[in-house]
Amino acid sequence: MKLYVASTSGYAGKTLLVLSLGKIWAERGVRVGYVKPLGKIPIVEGGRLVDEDAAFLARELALEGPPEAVCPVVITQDLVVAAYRGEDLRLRGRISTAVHDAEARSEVLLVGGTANLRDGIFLGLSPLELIVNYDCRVVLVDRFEGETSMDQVLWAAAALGPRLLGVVFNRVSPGQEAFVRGPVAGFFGARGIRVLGAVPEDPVLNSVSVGALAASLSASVACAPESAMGAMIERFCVGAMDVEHALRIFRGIPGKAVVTGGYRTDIQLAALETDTVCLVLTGGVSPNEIILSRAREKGTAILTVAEDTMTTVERFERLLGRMRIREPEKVRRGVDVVRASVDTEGLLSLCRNGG
Amino acid sequence: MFLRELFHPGSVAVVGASRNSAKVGFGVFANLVQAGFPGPLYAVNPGGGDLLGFPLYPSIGAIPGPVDLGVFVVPPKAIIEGIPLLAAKGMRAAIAISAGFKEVGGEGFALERALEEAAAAAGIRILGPNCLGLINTHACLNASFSRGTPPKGAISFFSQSGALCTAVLDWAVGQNVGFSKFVSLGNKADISESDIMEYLAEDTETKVLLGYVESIDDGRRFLRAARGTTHRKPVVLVKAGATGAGARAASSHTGSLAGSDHAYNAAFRQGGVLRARTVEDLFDLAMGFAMQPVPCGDRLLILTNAGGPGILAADTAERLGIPLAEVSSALRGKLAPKVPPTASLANPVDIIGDARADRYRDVLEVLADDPSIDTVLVLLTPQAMTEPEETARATVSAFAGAGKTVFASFLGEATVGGARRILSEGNVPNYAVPERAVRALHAMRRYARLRPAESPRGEEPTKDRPDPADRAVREALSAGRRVLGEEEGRAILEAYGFAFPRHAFAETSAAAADAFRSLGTARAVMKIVSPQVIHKTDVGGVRLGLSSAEEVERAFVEVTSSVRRFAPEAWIAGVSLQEMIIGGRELILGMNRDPQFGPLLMFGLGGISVEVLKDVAFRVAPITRREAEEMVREIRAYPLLAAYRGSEPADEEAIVEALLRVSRLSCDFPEIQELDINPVLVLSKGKGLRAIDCRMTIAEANG
Repeated sequence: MKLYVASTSGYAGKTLLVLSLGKIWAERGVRVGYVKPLGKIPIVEGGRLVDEDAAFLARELALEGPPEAVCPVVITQDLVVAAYRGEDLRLRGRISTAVHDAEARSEVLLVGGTANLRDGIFLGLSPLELIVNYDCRVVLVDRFEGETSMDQVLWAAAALGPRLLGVVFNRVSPGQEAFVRGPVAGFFGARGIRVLGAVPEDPVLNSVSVGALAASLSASVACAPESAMGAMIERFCVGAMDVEHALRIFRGIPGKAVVTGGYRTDIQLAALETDTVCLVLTGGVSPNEIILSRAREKGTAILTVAEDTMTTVERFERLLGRMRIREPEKVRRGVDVVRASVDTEGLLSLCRNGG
Repeated sequence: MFLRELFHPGSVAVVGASRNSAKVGFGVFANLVQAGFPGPLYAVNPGGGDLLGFPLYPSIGAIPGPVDLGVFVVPPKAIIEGIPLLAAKGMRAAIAISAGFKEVGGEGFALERALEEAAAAAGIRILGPNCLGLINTHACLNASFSRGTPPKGAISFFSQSGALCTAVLDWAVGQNVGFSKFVSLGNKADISESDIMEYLAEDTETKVLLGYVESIDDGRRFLRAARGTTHRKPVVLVKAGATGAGARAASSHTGSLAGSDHAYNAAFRQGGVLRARTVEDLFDLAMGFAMQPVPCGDRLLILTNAGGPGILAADTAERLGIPLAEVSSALRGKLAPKVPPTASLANPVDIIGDARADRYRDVLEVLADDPSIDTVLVLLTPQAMTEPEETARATVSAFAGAGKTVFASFLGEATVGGARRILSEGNVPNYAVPERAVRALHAMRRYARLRPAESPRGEEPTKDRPDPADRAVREALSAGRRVLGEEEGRAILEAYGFAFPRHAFAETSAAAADAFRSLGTARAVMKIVSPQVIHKTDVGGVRLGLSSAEEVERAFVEVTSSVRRFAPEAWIAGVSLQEMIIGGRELILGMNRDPQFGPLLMFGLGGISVEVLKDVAFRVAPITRREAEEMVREIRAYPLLAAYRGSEPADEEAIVEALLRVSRLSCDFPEIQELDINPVLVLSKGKGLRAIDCRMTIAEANG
């Protein structure tokens, strides 16, 4: 039985759902497999090109076999150039082998989808075709955004027909949970679309570790007290105001990173006075000695970036909430949140009945 | 134009003269009277009556004679209205003492603009507003509200800070130091430091120019004025706002964007201006220049009656690179009979604690005559047998007309006060501690070396900009691009004679492998080519040392994958495969357009030398060959460019050429706002440079 995990846009939560279903079902003794036909996050690991997400899930779900067994096609520059030139890419054979081999080893095979149901057509890998050809059932993950979500889900349900087993809404903000479980679920239920869960927005899942932030911003680490690089950032704020104002704002926001100009020593001190996980200093300026020693004392990391504050904030905004789940703390938390908010048991029996 | 009437008016009118002695309008008029101005003085006050024996005219129109200089001590609007009226009486120059203009913001800005317009319409020059006024001791003119008038002398001083003016005046009066001109620039609505420098360059009554500036609005004009002045006489400036905190304070104080301190340093240096770090330094240097000839050479002899101060002076000299003169055997032979056997005849010459004035005199007379010495520093510590005043007289008379430079440092206070006065009257500058004397001497030597010999050409953009560069810049601008990376920058730099490594573009891994084979290089470098990726290494877009086609293919996958991951928004065109330059030393060449001074060139050695140690040389473009050579030699890491640990000396000539090319490029293309050629590898002598990477920021040029 194959369950295709789809979404209508990127960063919806497919990896979170695959990870959680894999772990939760495995606990119940189900042999869960995973295959990702098209990987779009290329990374060279041990001399081999793999999809970063697929490699992570293979490790977490303790899958055996070489990386290409989990992710048979990873996007490369060569592949893209060949596609533009209209060459025959001959990717389907590789995918078939991987899917059939993985299916043979598992009771439920989770098939990781691309960002949306059209993503891959250019390379000759239409997700809808794939779902039909391999006779998959589908669970749709959607980052809940009101009417936009209604449109997307209705469109996907029409395209997928009876193959769609249900929808999981992700990152539902606290005030909207009742709304999603009530009117939204009711609306879809009346049209034969099951809502399998509403995963609440979670500060830990949205967070990013200082280490991951440093890597994503290409920042230099000016100060990294013990274990500070592993600390999780839940929110960020920009220090561009005067000091008294800054202190008032900073006090109200725990677990934050403060982005400010390298010369704003006053703001940096104010940030260090409050619950700050990390200082990000912009403009390529190194912190002065007072700030450094203060940060060491407080266990706060300091990163410096060459860009200006505005650019850094933009990059930061793109990151938060789009961070991939990697850190053990987030893995644990993610599985717990899904366990509590998604009807994984119901989905499993739907799979078994449908398959 | 008309600055002569500012300093040498035939007649002066004070608009707003006041009978109330607590008012500025009283102080200004009283100063004019007390300084003994020889020409007609007119006081205007609507109240009428008389003031210090002069009638108070109720209006400008009531002034009976012609007026050269108008001094305004009335509110802003009254100044603006008064200018045409006084101009009708022949006024050529005005001083606006009153505040309430730009410095108060808001309406003040508009008032200052109106003041400028009024002055321009009347065809007059105006000093201030918001200033202390002006003093010319040689013309018996004190058109300021200072307390007291300094004695006549050869030092002229201009200042953007009125408060500092009063402090310097107080010091001058207290120390009995003579001054020639005293100019408080205030807001510099019209007359700037550059005008004053140009005027005083020609002024025979000024031997040395001192100044305090917070901001210079037209940096290029300043540089021209400085070059024109410093080859005639020394200019010593204190530039406030050297630190970040200082610059912010200056910005908010003067309302002008603070230019980079590097630019100021470079411009001062290129203009031959000596920069004093403190006001104390300013005075120390002023006394040296005003009282003594610039030493003809470096050879310094220190004469002392105690070991300690001599050693301190010697230390300072060594640190500043002033060689202590070797005491020749001939000189030793002449000195020996004049001093006791326990005296030390090495330099510092220590004639020991019991030296009375006669021993000093004997030795000084020998030194004043000796051709192996350029400068003598006379140290004296007050001991039991010491005769400070007689020694001071001996010092003055021994060197009178000797053509040598002599400085004194008579230490202490209570017993040497009289001696100091004698020295000062005899034109021998005395410094409280020997280190300060040596520093002043060092500055005088530096002045002799700094005098700009030539003025660079090419200030105006040349008409013939090289075609490929012109095209590249115009195309980028019309495409709305602002930041250019290596691929686009290369065309521009190649047009200016920069050599890049051999390179080939590849779209796929197979093409990259082919490119490697056809380049025929032992080791290759791969770089991502994407218009959105400027900082290539940050996104894993560079691989070095590729030595086989297989390695190149693998690197292609890695490089393109990494960029796809770290810069998902970037469009990847392909990679550039380049010959890897082996050996050579990393340099950084750059340019940043300074708001006041224009293109500021930068040079340093790559890596930690620039990033951590900030070991960088700056010059304002255009530069002369001599300035380019100085830039190269100025950095502390310069010895690394010479033969070093078995490596061959670097091609210094090629670096100089490259700096001149960047200078020309910056002047030809005002569109280029910033330019970084980093790294540049300099190969061994005769082999030239290779530019490895570059980026530039462009914008439509103003005007």
